[in-house]
Amino acid sequence: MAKGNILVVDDNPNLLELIKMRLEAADYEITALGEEDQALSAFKDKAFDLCVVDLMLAQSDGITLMEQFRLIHPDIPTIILTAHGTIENAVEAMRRGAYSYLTKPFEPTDLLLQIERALENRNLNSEIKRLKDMLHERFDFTNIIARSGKMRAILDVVTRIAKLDSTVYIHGESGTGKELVAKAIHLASDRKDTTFVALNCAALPETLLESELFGHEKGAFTGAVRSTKGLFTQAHGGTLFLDEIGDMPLATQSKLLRALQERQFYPVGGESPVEVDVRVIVATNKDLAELVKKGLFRDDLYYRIHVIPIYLPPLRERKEDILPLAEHFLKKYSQQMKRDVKGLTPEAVRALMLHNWPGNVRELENTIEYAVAMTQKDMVTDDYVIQGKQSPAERAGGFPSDHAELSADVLKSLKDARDAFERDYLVKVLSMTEGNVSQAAKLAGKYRADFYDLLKKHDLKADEFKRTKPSYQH
Amino acid sequence: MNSMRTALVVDDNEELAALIATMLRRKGFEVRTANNGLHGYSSYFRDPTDIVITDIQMPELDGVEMMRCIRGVNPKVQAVYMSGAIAKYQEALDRETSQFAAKVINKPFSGDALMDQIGL
Repeated sequence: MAKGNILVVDDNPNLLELIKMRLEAADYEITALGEEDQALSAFKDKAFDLCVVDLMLAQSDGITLMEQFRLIHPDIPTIILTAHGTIENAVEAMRRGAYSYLTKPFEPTDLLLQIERALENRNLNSEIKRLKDMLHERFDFTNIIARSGKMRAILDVVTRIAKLDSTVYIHGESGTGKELVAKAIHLASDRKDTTFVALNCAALPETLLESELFGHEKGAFTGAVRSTKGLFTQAHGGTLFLDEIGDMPLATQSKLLRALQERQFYPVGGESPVEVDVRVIVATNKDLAELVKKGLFRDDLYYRIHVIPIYLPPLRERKEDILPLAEHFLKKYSQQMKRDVKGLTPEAVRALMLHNWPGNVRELENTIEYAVAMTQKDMVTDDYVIQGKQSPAERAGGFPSDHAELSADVLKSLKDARDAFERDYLVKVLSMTEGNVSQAAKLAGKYRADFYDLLKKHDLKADEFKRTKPSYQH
Repeated sequence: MNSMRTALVVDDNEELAALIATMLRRKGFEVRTANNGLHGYSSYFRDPTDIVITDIQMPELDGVEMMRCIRGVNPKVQAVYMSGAIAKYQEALDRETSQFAAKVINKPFSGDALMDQIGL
């Protein structure tokens, strides 16, 4: 198979023939023509990879012809042949888009080398274009940052499956962006102008989950003072995203299965069926196949939802996404908090790149948010990044240990670590004051009202810290 | 017609990095150096260059991983790998040469050979 298709244009028939022979011997397919009109015609008809054009032609000049070629195919590399002594023309040719030029007389090997380089460059450019198209913000509106090959592949899948109505099954660790991907699918589908409804199945107890999904009739259960529609109905015509579907209780699973199979369901306590047309996307961070084996998840429902699986890799497996994401969050929170934080110090970059990110993108976002809020300089330094991530031993030694060994439940997210600390502190100060809130608040340096809010946040009751009077004191 | 071409040289052997930088500066390049893959990536991220010339075996982030991160910023960057011809990197290097027209030069190499690969 030929290495490439080349168009050669020269009004000197001997030179033309010579070039043709030499290039054909090097395995190129050559179309050799002496006149501009012929050349332009041929160029329109056939797909060439490269053109070799003499500067001096019968009717006009090689540069003009080249420009005409480039109107049709802007990317076509062209090599201009100039006579000895017309260097200015050669420079002009380059300026107007020639890949390179050769002054006559030239060695055939020089021409071959130029052609090779030009074609190599062209292949590189088309690969770049392909990658750029993939990188390009088609998903601007969803804020998905995907620089890694893995994420780009996922966005590729999203484009391909979005317009189908099939159920999508997204799985990946917590904080990897499952809801973002679900939204991206919705926005790339034909349902993009309709509703996108999301439900976290782990957030509600069983009865509430069922009525949340399917609605209920007035009086269906205690507290059901009026009938409600349910998310399935709300999502009618659109997309329903069920997050953490592994946490759905078995009874609700049955109901969901029937709704998916029959495209209709009965609200809780209802007698007439409701028809729905919904595109379902589910997500889980659990191993659903395992749950099926343990009898915690219906196998028939599993097969119904496991139609198009998409796996979101953890952040540690796509480190090239870390800095672009960090920059994105930096901009976002700088603007939000109206703080002028310009960037990350090299040490901060290092800390971010070497961390294991058990909480994935959500953890990264929290980290940057915290750092932007706390930094007193205009750059995010590593102290605000490392805090909460290093063990005391690491802090002493100054070097992060091998992160692969740290398991997810040992390293909490920064928010969790902060919350745990806060709770411990409150308990301590309440114990010290034996449940006296006014004193505790004073010790903590807070207004009483604020202190009460904190107690409420952590579900702590001051009474439980009051010392019970021993009986003999009555 | 030309603005100054820029290069990033990444090698944990500081002297070698400095030497290559000097050679490039003589050819009209504006050059920065870095001494490990992580430093190289963050340097590139802050201020991209036209070319990256990199060692492969380096602490913290090896040359292959570093280029993967760098290509996340700009797939067009021209890369020259200075390879110790270690088997475990072969597949990644093959991909780099076929998909991105990266150049690989095996150690030990001469200054001329390196300049050749860069196209000078």
